[in-house]
Amino acid sequence: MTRLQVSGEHPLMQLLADRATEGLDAAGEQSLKAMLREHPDVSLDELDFAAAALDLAFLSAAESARDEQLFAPMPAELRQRVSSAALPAIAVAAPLRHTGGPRETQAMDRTPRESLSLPSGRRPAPRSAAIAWSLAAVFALLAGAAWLVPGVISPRGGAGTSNTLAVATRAEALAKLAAGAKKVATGAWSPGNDATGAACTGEVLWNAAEQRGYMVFRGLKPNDPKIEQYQLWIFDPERDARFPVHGGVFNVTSTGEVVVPIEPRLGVPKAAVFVVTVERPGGVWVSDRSRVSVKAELAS
Amino acid sequence: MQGSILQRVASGDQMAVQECLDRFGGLVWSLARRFCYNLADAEDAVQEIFLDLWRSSARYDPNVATEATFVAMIARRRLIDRGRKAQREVDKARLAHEIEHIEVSPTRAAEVTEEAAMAARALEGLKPEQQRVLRLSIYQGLSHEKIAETTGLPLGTVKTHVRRGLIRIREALAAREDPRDGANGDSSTGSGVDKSALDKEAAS
Repeated sequence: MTRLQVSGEHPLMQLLADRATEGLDAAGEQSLKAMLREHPDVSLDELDFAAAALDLAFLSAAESARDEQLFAPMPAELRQRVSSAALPAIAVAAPLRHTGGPRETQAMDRTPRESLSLPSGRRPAPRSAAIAWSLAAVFALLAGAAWLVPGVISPRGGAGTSNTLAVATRAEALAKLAAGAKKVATGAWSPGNDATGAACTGEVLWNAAEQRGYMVFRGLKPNDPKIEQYQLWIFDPERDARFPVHGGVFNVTSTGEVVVPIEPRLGVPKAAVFVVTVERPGGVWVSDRSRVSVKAELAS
Repeated sequence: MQGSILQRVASGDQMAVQECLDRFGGLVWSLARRFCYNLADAEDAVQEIFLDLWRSSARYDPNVATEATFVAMIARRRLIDRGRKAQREVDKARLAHEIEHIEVSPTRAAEVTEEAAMAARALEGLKPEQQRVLRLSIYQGLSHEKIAETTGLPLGTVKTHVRRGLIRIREALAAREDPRDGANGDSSTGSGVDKSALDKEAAS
């Protein structure tokens, strides 16, 4: 907090003090706005922080004098209502951005089908307990328990937004991820409960160190973006399985090979499971998981 | 990728939303119950406050204030607006008794946040009449006109006391080097203030 930029006796400061303590009527608000335009180095919250800090001091003294627990928690049901309203409110403040979809190659059909074997040629390692837990939790949730409350797509993240990540083929994707990386984890798609993924093969390629990757699809049903879009969710066993990280929305216009970049804004250091659902255009904050297209578990 | 709770809330991290409720839900509930007519009114207020907080979370700047103070500021903003619209009388008699008789202590205030402790110390440096006006205004939520009636002071004097008092507190907060230093226990202000409960968790 910087020093005050106007004299304490300036009428602007009285308006700010009034606002911080009893509020202003419409005329007061107008006067304040006009004065703030004349003094752009003065903040609207200039004295609100001071009032808040002092109020915290009073509050702690009062609750202590009443021998009450300092800031006892609110009722559980109220907390639940407050919690449910959070992400839609945040979405209004920072709207979910459409990622623009993948760069689909028209050369899909001429591109040699890449092997789905692991780059190293090794078979997938046995599941660790952590991965097993995450799968059990995730698939139980997919099966019918309360589910996904998402992270949020970043203006700079999400599938398809990064020009530097856009590639046409799996080979290119692997090359981009593997450059300088110790290891690229992969996971083959398996179908979910929705017809869009019934004929889909392909895999997830994931560079955990760089927190980016690609989804490679073959045979995923093309979508009409005006009706529905695909949405990616990433599960990390070290996060609560009810709150996967949102990986972005994307479109598919070909049943050939489609490669979609993944660049989530929130960190998923132990990403283990990737799930693609079908949602309304623009995506959702809370999925009802009624349409799970495909899912993949990363092999370690 | 870890930021403050509010910064992560602004990113849409639902886990951060839960942490925010864990850490600040009680604070907001306490503020709401003090200013609202009844429990139902307080519950409505809490919902509105958190909506404001979710929408404002991207505005939070750790260089300006700690998260607890920011949350309290958002809460007060909403409660003042509701109070103006409702024009209801809360149980001011109870509040009046409390505020006239409780001892504001920097040490106790430090349990909440270092800024509260600094505000409490700044308050101690004000004249008794000015302290009383601030107590009636900030804690009891009385309008300046009502304070003038209660104390017998001219309205202009009340307004001056509020303004100058808040400016003094603001100056005390601005003199602090970094809102986070106190939370980490290595305060460069040399205040010797213990880690606050709300800020302690931020450092862990």
